[in-house]
Amino acid sequence: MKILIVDSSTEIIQRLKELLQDIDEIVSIYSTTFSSKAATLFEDSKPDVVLLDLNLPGNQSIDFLKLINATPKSALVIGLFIHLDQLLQNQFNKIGIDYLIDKYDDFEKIPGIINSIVRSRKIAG
Amino acid sequence: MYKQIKFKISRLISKRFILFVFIFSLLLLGSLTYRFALQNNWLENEYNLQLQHVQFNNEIAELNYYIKSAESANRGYAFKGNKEFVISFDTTIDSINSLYRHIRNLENRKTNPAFAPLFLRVDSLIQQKVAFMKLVKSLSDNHEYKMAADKITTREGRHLADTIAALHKQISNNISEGLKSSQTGFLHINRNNNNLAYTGIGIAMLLIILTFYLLLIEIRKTKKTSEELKVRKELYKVTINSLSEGLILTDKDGSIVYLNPAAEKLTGWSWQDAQKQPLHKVFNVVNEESGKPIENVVSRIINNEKNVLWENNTLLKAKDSGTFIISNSGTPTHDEKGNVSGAVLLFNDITELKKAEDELRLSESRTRKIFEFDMIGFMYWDINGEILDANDRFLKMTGYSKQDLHENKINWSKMTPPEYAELDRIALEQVASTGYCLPYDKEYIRKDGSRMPVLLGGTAFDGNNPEMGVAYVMDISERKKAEKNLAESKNYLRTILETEPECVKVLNRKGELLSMNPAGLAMIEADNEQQVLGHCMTELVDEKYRAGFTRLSKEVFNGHSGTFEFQITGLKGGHHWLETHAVPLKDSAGKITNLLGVTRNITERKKAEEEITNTTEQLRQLTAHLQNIREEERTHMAREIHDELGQQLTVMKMDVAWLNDKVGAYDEKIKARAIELQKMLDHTVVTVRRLAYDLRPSMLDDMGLGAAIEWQLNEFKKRTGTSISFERMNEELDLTDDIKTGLFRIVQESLTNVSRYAQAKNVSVSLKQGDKNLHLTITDDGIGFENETIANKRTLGIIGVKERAANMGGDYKIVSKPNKGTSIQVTIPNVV
Repeated sequence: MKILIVDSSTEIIQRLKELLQDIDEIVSIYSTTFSSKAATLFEDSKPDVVLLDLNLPGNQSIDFLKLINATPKSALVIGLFIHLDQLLQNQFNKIGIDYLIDKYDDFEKIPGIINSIVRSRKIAG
Repeated sequence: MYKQIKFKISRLISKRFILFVFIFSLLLLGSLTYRFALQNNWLENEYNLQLQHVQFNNEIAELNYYIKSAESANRGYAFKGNKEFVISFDTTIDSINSLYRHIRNLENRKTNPAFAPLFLRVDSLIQQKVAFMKLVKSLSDNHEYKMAADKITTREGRHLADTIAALHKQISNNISEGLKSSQTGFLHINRNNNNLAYTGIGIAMLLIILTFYLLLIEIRKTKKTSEELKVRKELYKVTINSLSEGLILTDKDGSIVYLNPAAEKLTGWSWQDAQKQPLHKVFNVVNEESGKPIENVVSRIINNEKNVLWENNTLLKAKDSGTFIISNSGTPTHDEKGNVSGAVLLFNDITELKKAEDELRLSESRTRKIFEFDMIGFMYWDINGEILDANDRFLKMTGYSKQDLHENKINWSKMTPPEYAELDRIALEQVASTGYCLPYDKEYIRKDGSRMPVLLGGTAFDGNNPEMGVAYVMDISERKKAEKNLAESKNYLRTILETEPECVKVLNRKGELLSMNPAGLAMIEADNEQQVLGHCMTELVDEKYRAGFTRLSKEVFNGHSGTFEFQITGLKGGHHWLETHAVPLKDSAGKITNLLGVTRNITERKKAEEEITNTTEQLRQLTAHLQNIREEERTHMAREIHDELGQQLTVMKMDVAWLNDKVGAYDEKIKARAIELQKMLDHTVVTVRRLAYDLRPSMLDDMGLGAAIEWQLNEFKKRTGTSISFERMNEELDLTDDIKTGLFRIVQESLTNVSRYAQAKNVSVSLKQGDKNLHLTITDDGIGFENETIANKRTLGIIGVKERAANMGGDYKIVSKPNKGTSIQVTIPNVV
């Protein structure tokens, strides 16, 4: 399983990688702090799961999310945010996002979500 | 009276006498006729009786004959035995029986009681005789002829025949005597009747002649009276019909009997229609002053049986709704017994008369009022200076009394100061030539010696005699004083105008200058008034403002006033800003004649205003710039706080969690400290988030204006408990950051005001698109306020809203009323 982490903070990326390192099914983790590079990285790496910072400046998060959804074999997207208003959450859900995680309050849930995705992939064969 | 009584008595006597004579004649003739009838009746009865007697006598004689025949046959049969006598006897007996029955019938009539015994006797004898002859016959039948002959010859046989014969004779004698007696009675009665008839006829003839004579006299009298009545009636009719007054004749019940043509004309009723109508229906009268129906004059006449005199306050309402003022009078009519039988009502139309009287009265009253008018003195003068009469005002003016007037102590010539004698002379000449003189000012010397200015005019009583007339004299002391005051006022006004620092000018309808004070002349750079008088002032007005200047002038001549600011180029080329206030000038009749303008030089003020405007605009731009800078800084700071600080805190929390996870099992103190640190981080994160959103909600940038307002309203509701509603468009508009930020901040400012002042329970916000404009409305149901109040308060919050709207190029409007809430309406044009 390939993971792509897009977040404006390198520290966050580092902590997330540490958080996911114990999951055996993850073969590689790609990461970037620039949304401009994220699109290329996404196309090149073809990740199974994308951890996306929803608080990227401007509309970068939304634009990247739209790009993912426009891809035929799209990855599952776990949106990470720091205090995202319910209206914004609704908008992201509307565009198409699989999981929404407050990375301050609920970052510990991320490994569990990845594991559940792995299990579901295995079952799906 | 005497004649009337005599006439009545004579009529009474003649009529009754004729009636008496006529009735007496009838009675006399009746009694005579009755007497004749009784006599005739007696004669008829007597005749019938005597006729019966004769008949009876004849029948007795015939019976006697048959008896003798029967006796002879009986005798022949008895003596000779010859059966042929039997036949004759039977036949004779049958005849006797027949006659006998007839005689008995006569007897039954009992015509004369004197013959009754004779009848009875005859009856008895005949029965005896017949029985005797039948006995003899039976003896003969038995052939005992001898016994039969003896019987016949016996005394009994002879006696019966003799007795019957004697009775017959006696009856004949009696009848004969009766006839004689009747004849005597007839003669006596005939004589009496003749006497009575001649006497009665004579008397009756005399009475009839007398009656006819009297009747003839009465007929002639009646005919004469009738002719006289006819003539009188015709005379009365002509007289009544020719009356100009209306005449109504009624019966005692007040029903109309007759209307003359004048009454028909006044009431509008024809005689035929009015007949038998109740008077009040035809003669509909009301009180002239009160308009109330009045008691009918005829009712009063009939009820009081008195004449009613003329009454002049009655209004007659005619059938055709016309009305007349009438005077009316009436008198009762009487029948022969002197009882009231009706009334005659006379009335005439005095409308014109009354009108003429009123006009005359009015004219007299006017003349009197004019003469007694306390404002103008009147006097009757003659050419010698005498005052013949004067009203109170004149006396009061001159200080003289009525007594002075009556004692001829007032002389207008002597009252006139010498310097006015020439004017008086000219005035008298004018009166002599034209009949009147035009009014002129002069003075009179009062009784106390003081002078009094007067206006005097006069006219002659008669154009042919101009030596007497009437003059009116008006005390013009006040006028003189007013003229003096007016002159002073003019001088005062002239001084004011000449020293007035503002331009005061008068223009006519064409805009031509009629007058201008020195300040005005200086404004337009004229050297003197003559230089510009009659010139059109519009020419001095700069081209840009001429239309407005002309419009103001038209408004003024339409009766309005107005103010106008404009620029002129003076006669010497100087440019000036002027402000003029123009009002209509009216003449004494109220007609607008000219324009009065008061104009001030506002060049300095205009410069100051321009500077203020420029400064204000610069301040506004600066404010907008500062707001933008502040907004950018807030955005930046919010982003930094939220993103950078938030990320760092997140990393710190991750690390603390990691430490807590790794250390917790070995050292409880470190674990507790890690947990405490984690809590502090949580609290810090909350504070950071609030700070970031307070500075600028990221949603405004991320989600748009509608979403940001909705979020802000939800926060407001959480904080204040106020009920909110938000009406927004379905799609977010693509607005610039300035517009989004500006409108969002207006919502924030408004909500702040609501929470501070409004005491509202409900707040509604609407964000709508209209054409290319965007409309934002914030409405609350709070205590509101007077718009004038807020204008004076100039609260910073509202000023901020106003400035933000102005910076966006939009309009701002606040509508509020006490206890009716407040509505803030912002319209941003051309943003959609």
